[in-house]
Amino acid sequence: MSGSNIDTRETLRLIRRATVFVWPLRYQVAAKLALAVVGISVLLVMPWPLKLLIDYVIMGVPIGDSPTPYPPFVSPLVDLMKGLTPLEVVTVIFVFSFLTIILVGAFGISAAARDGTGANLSQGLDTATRSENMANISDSKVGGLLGLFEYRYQLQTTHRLNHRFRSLLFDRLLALPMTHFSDASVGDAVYRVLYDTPAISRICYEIWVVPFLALYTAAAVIWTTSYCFTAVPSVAWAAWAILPSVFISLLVTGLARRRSAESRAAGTTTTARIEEGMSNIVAVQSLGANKRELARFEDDSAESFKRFRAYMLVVISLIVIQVAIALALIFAVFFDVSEAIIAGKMSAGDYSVLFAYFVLLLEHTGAMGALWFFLQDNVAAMQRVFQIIDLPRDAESHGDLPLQSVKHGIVMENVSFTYPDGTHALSGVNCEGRIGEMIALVGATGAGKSTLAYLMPGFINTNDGRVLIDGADIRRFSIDSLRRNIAFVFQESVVFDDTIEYNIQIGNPDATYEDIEAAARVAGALEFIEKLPDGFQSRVGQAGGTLSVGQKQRLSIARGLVSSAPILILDEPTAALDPETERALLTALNVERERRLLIIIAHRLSTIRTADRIYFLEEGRVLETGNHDELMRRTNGAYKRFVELQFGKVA
Amino acid sequence: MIRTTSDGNKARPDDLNLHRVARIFARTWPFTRPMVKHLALIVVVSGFTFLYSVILVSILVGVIQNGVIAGEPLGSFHITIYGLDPDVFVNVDRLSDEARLALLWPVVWTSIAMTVVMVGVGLAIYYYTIWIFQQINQLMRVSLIERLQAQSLTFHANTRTGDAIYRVYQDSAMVTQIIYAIFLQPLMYLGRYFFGVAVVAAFNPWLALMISVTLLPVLLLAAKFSSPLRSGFRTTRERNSALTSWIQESITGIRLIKATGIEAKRLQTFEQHSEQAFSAAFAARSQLALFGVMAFVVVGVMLLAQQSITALLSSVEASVFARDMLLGFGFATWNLGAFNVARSRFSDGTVSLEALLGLWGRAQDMAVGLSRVFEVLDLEPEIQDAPNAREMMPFDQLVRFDQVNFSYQADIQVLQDISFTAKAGSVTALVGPTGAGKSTLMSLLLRLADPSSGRITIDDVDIRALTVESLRNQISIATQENILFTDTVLENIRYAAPDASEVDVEFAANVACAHEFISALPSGYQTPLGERATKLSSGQRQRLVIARAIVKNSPILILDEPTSALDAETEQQLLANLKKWAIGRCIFLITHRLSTIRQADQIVYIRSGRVIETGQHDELMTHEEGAYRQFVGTTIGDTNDDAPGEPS
Repeated sequence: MSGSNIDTRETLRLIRRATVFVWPLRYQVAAKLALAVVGISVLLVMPWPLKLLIDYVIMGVPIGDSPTPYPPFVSPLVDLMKGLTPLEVVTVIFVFSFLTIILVGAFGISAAARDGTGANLSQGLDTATRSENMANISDSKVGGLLGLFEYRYQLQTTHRLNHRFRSLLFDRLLALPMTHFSDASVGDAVYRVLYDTPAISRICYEIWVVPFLALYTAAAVIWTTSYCFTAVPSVAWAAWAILPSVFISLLVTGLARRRSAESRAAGTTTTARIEEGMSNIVAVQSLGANKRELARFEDDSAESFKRFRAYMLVVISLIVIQVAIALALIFAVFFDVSEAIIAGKMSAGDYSVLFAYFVLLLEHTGAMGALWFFLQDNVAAMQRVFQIIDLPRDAESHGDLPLQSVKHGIVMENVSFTYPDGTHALSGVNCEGRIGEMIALVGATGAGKSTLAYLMPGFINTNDGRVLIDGADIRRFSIDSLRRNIAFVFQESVVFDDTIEYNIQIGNPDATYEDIEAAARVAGALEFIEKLPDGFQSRVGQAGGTLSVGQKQRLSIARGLVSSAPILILDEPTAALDPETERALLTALNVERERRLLIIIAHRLSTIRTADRIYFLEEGRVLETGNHDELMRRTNGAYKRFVELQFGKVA
Repeated sequence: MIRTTSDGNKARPDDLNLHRVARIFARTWPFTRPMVKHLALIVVVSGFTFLYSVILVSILVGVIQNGVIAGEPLGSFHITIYGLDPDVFVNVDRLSDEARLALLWPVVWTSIAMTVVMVGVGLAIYYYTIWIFQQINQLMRVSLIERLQAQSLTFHANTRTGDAIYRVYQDSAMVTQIIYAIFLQPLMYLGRYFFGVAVVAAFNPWLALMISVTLLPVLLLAAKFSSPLRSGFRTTRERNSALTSWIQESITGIRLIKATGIEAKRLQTFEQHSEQAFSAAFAARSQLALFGVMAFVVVGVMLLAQQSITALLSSVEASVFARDMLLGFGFATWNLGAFNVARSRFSDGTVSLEALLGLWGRAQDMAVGLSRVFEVLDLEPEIQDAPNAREMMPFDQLVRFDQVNFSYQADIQVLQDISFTAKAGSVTALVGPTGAGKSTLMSLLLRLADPSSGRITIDDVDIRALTVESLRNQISIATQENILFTDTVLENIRYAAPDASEVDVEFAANVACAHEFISALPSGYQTPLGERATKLSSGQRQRLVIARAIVKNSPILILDEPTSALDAETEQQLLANLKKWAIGRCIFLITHRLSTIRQADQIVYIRSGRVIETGQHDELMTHEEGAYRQFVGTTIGDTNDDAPGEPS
């Protein structure tokens, strides 16, 4: 499931899909882009007041005597200052700069005189712990009021995007066929929803904002330098040359992709380990396995850190490449510019402007060069999310015909089922049940009873044969309506961390308090519920930790009883019940069966005997069918032998 | 305590103050200590690299700005390092064009020398720091897990797994950043701040005073923002933790969600949790962004003022304060080079202050994260070795429950006055209705929790006087909820006894009647099991769990509903095997099955947390109105048409 290789085509495909997902937010992204362009435009004006300061105030060259022309966007300011004294020039620039500090948090060219806006928090040193900042990605190249506005606007957009994306993934997770989670662990699901999905916001900005800003900056720098510095043509050439040089980073992208995928896979294992250890704490402690579990966690965690370091090495090599390129280009123009200054074709202030422009240009083209590189990490995450989204949902194998209330019953025709790993669970099973009947599925462990029951609400789909309800293939019915008609009580009880009432009511959202109480009474749960401090409003802890297995099972049964579904399947409902409770339950079920079809999987004779029909299964086949008395009359019958063993004749 | 609640939109109040924040940071010391040598090395190397770069930058600025661009004479220092002719470069009014051009190559070489060292050392340190921090983080993660695992069942009954995941991942990661934020970076920034003040003072002491004054508004801002930031970050972390729990629980309970068709509702609540988490993050981060913007306004105004003043000073070529010292660099009076050097030092100094301020903002988040880690590390496990606990001797006589009482929550009594004994070589069946307290009683024997009063002794020693590890080593248990781990069948069976050989494992599997179906699996004992092992049937899982208990080969064995999912034939076989294997051991059986109960040497009948009757099956059946007899009556009564007569 994880870290399969992604080639360039796959990368492009994933990016396209991410873009499709982002499309509804295109106006917001465009607005962010517009804000960023305003910010950068301001930054392009910033170096010019400094040129005035250097040429006029420090070097004493009269304004207007500059060997190079001012670009049109600053000449009005320059004209304004002609004929002022140095003190007056300094004052004008001070006021102008003060305003820009408040508005955009910048007044000069050096990094110190510029403020970006961001609020990244310190994060840990593996992929999972870094995802928090990615889920909150937002930044502005400028500060001040504009920067703050841009930051908040983008953060809001990021949140909307991430929220939609992880909700989609969560929705899909819930729609997966039940068998999916037998292999994939819970930790893996948590990791994907929380730590893989934020990659979409990063991709969104990298793809739409970074290249645009890089091109805009490059265009502005190339235009301005060609306009002002015609005396030194190599300046404009160098600006052009920076553009293709960014693609040198492509050399290491394949490596980055692999390392990133490995880092994420290792993180998943660690998450799964925490989850498993915590969920199974009873077993860990009672088996005296604390140390062993700890050692396993330690190894996994160390491995995920190691993988992250391997990824960072690739990042470092990218930085080295970029620094080398930048240095080479700066040296290339350094000679020409210096000669021009010495020859008087450029001023000292021009040098500062030029230097500032080149830094700005390198910053943006560098981001663009790294774009493809950093996309790899995000694409690896994106793949892990889309893998889940692409899995067939169990609703897909079903039509959308709504199933009204079942009138007649269910029929299984020649049904076979094989698990994905090749284990044959059922072969050629035929059986039927009508409303008003009670059917028992009986057989040794592993005979296929539960698998057979799972086929009815479409938890799994047959490989061969058909399941019919009221004569129609269940695949024609929508999965929602099908499951509304079939209530299922599982063998191993699941309890949510919520109130007792909630845990029963999820069987039927329309159930009143009286219905819930009645169901709890029949299931033998009322007694213990009433003893709890808050009765039905008591919260049960994680996975029902405060309840015993028997109590949880009673809650599950109550949940099944409260539902008004015409078909009720109970998988070993009485295994953890004591005989008194079982008896009460059976009496209640006898009433229920008049208006429902009851399908019971059971080992207990007391439960089985009252069934209208027993299907005795062995190794995935139905061996005998009939009611208890009929089957007991068969000499050497498989069922008869089974019953005799149950009561200890061989012991 | 640390229970996660998702109480709507209320922000968490800030419960930390400066003192407590400092204490939290101080507590990271034990995790950092093993790495101190490495950290010291980083500080030293960074310091040298910084000095190296500052010196080279000052030289470069002098040569480029003064020499190449302005054509002013250089300082004596330049002459010495570049081996230049003083008559051409120093003792002139203005440099000739040839002299200016000759300086270009030295500039290139110096730049390369600077960049190679800065980038090389910088990246090496970066990688080195990652390694160091990961080691520290690992230490903390492991202690967290260790502490969480050591908590009693009472604790785990009330906390969520998702919360644990969040604490182990996101909260503990803060330990490394703390070192960055309160040690490495402040050291660096303070160094740069004071260095900046010193250099600027050499040019003009009044300017140095300006940098110092900047400190005041900066401190004021820090004081004003700390508490709101912390409160915002805590809310964010708690909301994220609640979201993690919600996902985890939904996936664990996926079957039920499907069966009851509540997907839409679960999704709706997920979206609420997700939105709450994001809105908390938005509030906290906007606050932090605002803090950053305000900090820059303070610093920016200072920088601007300084730039204006030095520009004016340079325009009149005013002389610098420490003339003799700066002469060597060519800055005898305020000129273009001096303007640039002073500006870069001044901004380095003030920007360091701004950066410190930013660190302080982020440190609030770290403090919150770490306080959540320490909340767990501070939990004293309820079950701990007594100070003078000793190893348990090999069990040989008897287990005694002596007036044991127990409750999970103070007001619900789970067990009351439980007293009975179990001898070595005997099978004790614990019988009674669901929820009577049978499983709880056994968890007390394992010390998963301690009785609220009364005591349990093994060979007349109170089990609380024994080390937990030695006690659990002599007891094995097959749990009712058949818990398996993501690993192979083989490793699952020898989970509690890692040293068991494959022969031992196979033997145990044979006793548990599991060998046959294991051999039929695609890769036999090497077949990997998914986390919930859903491919196996309940009965198969149950047998694996029993095999796991057997392979531990301990003198006390607890079987909690060992055969509930087994069919009669397998059960009979398994019980017969167990009987043969169990000679000389003390076995506790929790069961509802009459066929199993009958084979016990002693039956303890428990109802509503009390022992109602004890004795052998035959003995108890003679009590006319006995509770046990009634219990058996309901079982037989149901089935007496087919039930065979008395077995023996």
